[in-house]
Amino acid sequence: MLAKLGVASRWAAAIGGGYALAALSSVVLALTLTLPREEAVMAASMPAFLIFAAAVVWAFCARTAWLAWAGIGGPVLILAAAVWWLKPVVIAAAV
Amino acid sequence: MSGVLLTLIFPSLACLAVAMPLHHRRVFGRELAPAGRAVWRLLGAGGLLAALGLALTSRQWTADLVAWTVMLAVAGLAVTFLLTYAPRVLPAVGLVALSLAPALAWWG
Amino acid sequence: MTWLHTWTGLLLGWVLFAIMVTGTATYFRHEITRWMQPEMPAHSAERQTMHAGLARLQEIAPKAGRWGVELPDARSGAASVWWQEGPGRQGFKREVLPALHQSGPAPQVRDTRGGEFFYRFHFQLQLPHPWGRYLAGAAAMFMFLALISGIVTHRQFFKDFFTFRSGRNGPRTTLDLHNVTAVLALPFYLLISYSALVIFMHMYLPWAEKVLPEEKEAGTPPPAVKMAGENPIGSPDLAMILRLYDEAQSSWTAGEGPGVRRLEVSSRNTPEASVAFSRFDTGGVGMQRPARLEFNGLTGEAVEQKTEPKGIVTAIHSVIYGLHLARFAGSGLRWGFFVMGLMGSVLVATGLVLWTLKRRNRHLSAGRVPFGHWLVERLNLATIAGLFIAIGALFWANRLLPASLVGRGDWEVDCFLYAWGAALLHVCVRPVMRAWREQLILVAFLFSGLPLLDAFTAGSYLRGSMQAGQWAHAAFDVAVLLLGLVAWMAAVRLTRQKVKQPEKSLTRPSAPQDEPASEVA
Repeated sequence: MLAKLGVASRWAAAIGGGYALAALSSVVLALTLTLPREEAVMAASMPAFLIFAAAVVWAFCARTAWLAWAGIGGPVLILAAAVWWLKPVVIAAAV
Repeated sequence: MSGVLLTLIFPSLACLAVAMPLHHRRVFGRELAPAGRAVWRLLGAGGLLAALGLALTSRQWTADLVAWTVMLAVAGLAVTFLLTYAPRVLPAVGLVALSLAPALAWWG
Repeated sequence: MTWLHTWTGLLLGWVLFAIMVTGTATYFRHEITRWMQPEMPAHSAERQTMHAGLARLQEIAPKAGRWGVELPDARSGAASVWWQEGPGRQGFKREVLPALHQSGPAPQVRDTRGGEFFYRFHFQLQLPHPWGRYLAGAAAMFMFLALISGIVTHRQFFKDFFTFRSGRNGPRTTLDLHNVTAVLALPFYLLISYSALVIFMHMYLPWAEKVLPEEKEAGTPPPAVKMAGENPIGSPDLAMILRLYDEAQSSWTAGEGPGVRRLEVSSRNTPEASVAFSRFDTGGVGMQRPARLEFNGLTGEAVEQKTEPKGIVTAIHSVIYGLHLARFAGSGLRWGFFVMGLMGSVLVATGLVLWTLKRRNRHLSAGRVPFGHWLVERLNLATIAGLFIAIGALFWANRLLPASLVGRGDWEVDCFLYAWGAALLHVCVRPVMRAWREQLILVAFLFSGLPLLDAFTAGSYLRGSMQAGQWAHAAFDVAVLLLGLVAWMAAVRLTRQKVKQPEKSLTRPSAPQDEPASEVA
């Protein structure tokens, strides 16, 4: 039963956490790259799929489900903080 | 161009295949000598590089570079199936393919 | 990693198989359309065709605001005209041109989706928008993950390079086939799964686009499309359009490129009338917008084209996009891509079958087959053989449904779906090994019978196309015949193979709670 819960938790970390990581990384990249808008969107989104894949691999390779969550949750929090810090700057620059 | 690449890559991959002891035994019916192994490998790698060079120096080199990788898969499949169902004819097929290359290059 | 490979491969494996097969067919979508519309007259991209198209437009749509002529290329031999009389799609009409030497009205071409069906199914899966695209994206991501974890799982493959042991050992043969098809075309699979995600990234990862502020448009907004006015001022006349066509054609063919593919006359009968020619460039692998030459519709002067500055990121994106679509591929390379697509389909199919083969003996010795296993075995069969039954039914329907049937194109698709549904029902009521054999025989019959059916129903078109040196129609017949023969061979092999099978125990699922969830290595 516990093993099943661990697997379910890893799936959640892989799909949910992995997607969050990919989405946030694309946002941070888009906000920091100094490229024309269309190019920035592409440059930010294309690597995000690779980050997603890496997160899923990590979720199933980590020794314990806790480690799987930590390895994905940590970067998600850092990136979320980065977005929170970057976003007002970009908006102010645009106005 | 795809045809030329195929006729160059197929014999090259066949050489690389007979550089492997298991396949060598099936194709030639005798053991592979260590010296022979190096020669087959050199021939195979040389052929693949020659085909790659041909692709890269053509006018449409981007498309031909793609064609090189695609034909690698197609030729590899052909070599694999020949090794399974008719290993003895592999050298003959390889030579026929190689001899077709100049004709295809001239025609295409 | 093995665990990840097993489950990412299985969970959306059936969807992935359907995507792979229809995507493989899409490499030849124009050729499939030609087979499905055998009565479509073949044209050549000549000045006379352009002239005939313009004359036809002048005759039937003199007041239309927009006109277009589409000239044939090497792959789709048809020429057509279109025109727009009102705003929106309602005002848009299209007509096929009769062959040059024939007089009279345009030929009645049967209504069919043609190769477009495979193209659309490949990424929309016949599901309501946008869910098909999301499902296809999830399948692409799972494929990408299965590839990465598969490289780790099967990393000893170099030892077995070029090795395919086709013996009595079913699982061994299946595993060899899985490895061979995987290794030989590995870069291709990595590319198509990743590029599939990139192509629809604005749907899958719209966030970067959302946080970046819109750039303010410099200058004036683009002018609205003008419809025809009452007074016929400013309509470029036929002689002028033909003169501009000659100009565009000679400037393009001078550079050894292809000639004009499309003509578009817009804002007819207004002072903003314009004449534009376009073509697709060949050579580069990157996805590109068609090249355009535009002229002022009143004076005939060339209009300067804005060239957008292209950065390195745009270039990388266009190469990834272009490689997936493979529009640059000539016929030889296109067949190569087709073979790799088939290899990919075999890769997915053998992976799905391996899942059951590995577990089958264990369940049989335990005397009970869990519901999960029962389900996977049947879904495998209904997907792998069932899809080909459905495709076969689609092609048979194309030849057998009456041409006058209302909504004929939709009926063909219905035949595809009903046949697939019937295959699914069939596997639920038959023992699984027997169902495999029966469905494979049906696939073999449908596919190898197609050339015969074609000869009876469209033989004259087949002869005509071959006499004209057009090989698409005949090549289609040969290809389906070969696929049918492969199905025959598979069916014969299954018949010969002695599989340990107390069939009875496999026909009925035991209670669902026995499902083996996580103990699988």
